[in-house]
Amino acid sequence: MMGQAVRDPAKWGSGPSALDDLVLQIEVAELRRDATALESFARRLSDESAAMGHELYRALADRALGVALVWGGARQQAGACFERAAAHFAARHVGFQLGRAQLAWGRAARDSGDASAARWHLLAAIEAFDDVGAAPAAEAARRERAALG
Amino acid sequence: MRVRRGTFPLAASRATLLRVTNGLKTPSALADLASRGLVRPAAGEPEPVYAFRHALIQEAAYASLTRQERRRLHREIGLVLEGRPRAAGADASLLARHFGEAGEVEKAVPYAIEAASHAVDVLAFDEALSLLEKVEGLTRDAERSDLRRSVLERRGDVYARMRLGTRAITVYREALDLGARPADPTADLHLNVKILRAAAAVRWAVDRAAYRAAFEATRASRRSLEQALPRLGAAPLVDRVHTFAALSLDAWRNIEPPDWPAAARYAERAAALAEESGDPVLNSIALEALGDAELGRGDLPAYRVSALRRLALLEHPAFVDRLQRADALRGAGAALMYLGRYEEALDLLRQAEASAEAIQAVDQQFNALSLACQCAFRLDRWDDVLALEARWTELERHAPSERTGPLCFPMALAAVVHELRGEVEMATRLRRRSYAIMLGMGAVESWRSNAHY
Repeated sequence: MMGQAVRDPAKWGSGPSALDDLVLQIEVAELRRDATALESFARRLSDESAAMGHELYRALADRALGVALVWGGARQQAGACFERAAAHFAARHVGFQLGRAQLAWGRAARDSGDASAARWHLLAAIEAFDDVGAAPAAEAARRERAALG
Repeated sequence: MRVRRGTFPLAASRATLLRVTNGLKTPSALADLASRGLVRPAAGEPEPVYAFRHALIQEAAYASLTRQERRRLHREIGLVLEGRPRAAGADASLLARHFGEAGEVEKAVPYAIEAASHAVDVLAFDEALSLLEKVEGLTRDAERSDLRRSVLERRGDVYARMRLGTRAITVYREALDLGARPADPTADLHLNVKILRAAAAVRWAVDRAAYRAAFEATRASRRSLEQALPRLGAAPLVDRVHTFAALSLDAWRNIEPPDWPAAARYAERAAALAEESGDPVLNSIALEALGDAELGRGDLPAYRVSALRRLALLEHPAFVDRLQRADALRGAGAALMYLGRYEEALDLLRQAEASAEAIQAVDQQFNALSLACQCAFRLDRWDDVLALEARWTELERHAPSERTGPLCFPMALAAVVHELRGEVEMATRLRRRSYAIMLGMGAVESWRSNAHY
């Protein structure tokens, strides 16, 4: 059982579930660059989505956890998280999330000094963003890739 | 011999008309009228059919009769029609008209109700309302509050079916104010259940002022139903299921903050009783309540089980309720969506939308579209999100928001897609519209704390 109830079920609209709520909390924590909150929400989402069999949200949790681990300096573990997330998104053709996972993975590789891997992941991110028409995100990834030389 | 609709009263002159209805052989009278060029036999029918040559002749003939003669003729015609085998619907409407014109309110009302019911079945909502409004006038003139109450209840049902909940509540309240029929102890029960359901349907779909009136009506109905609970065992099983299911819905939908334990308690009672009945539609109603309560507790796996049990009921040959069918499909689609099984959810939601469209259940159609939009959004199928947005925008042109329900959520999802694609102007426009809808629905402090946007 999850801690937080759905406040207004989907009837006559589309109320968010408690899992949806965690996804939102993750986005907010990431925007605030709050590593502690991000890791906490990502782990909760990972556990609860696994219990529910919600594979997409588990992949979202993996990507977010990867970002939190990078912020905490655990790049090795982060790579495994990004890999799991990207594999799921690629298999399901969830383009924008695939782009986000590859972008985060590329940044982690860049920050650890692996420019070659960073270029590869950033290119994958650009392609994924282009596929869904996410022009601003694709442009940002292009700039980051260009900066690598 | 038959006389085609539009020919009654059956005469073009007062003398002939009176002869016809005073026992002279009708064929000879009609032949007389035909020879005078006032009516003509219509060919190609299995039995003789006559029609007036011109509508003005019919009007002139009718105007030549005294009120008493007209009433007597309408009654005679009604009795003749009543004795004939008839197809449901159209003939009931004709019978309601003739008995109504004859002033026979006791006969006119059941026929009008039957005709209105058939009109609703074929989605002729305006016709249903027109029929009921006419006989309602008669019941008022005849001071028959018992019959008027029945007519008002049916009028409310038509408004509720059209998802015009605030009008439905007004009419149901009017019916309640007429007082209960002594012979029908469950009459108030029905009306109060319907008021709670109608108010739940307009929650978030109308502005604050309109909802306040609906909300006030729910208080009295809730109190009345709660007071009736100790005696509910004497009511038919079907009424008990409806009552518990409505109280469950009311507990989370009309009460702020939602009383989820009460919603679960009532839903469990409804489910147990429905199971006892073996009726698939009653079970569907109860499982809907149970599923909502489980979802409200955040118990998604239990919700999924209830939603899929409800879906399985659609296979039952006795499952004839088309609204419940559309809702069961939507509910199962929602349950799978919440668990991330988006492809399966989309398949069910497409079926739900088609079912809802076929019966002009606009709110259900929008709900299915809204949930499908959420699935497409999660799968990053942005073109699908925007295509769905185009669909509801088109539908929105033909239906007031009270019928569609609030559209702020899918609108916000579309705004996100436009934003992520760099279409800032469009995103801003949709975001502002979405926000304006939310502001119109309720004060900021009443918004759900975990709403997405």
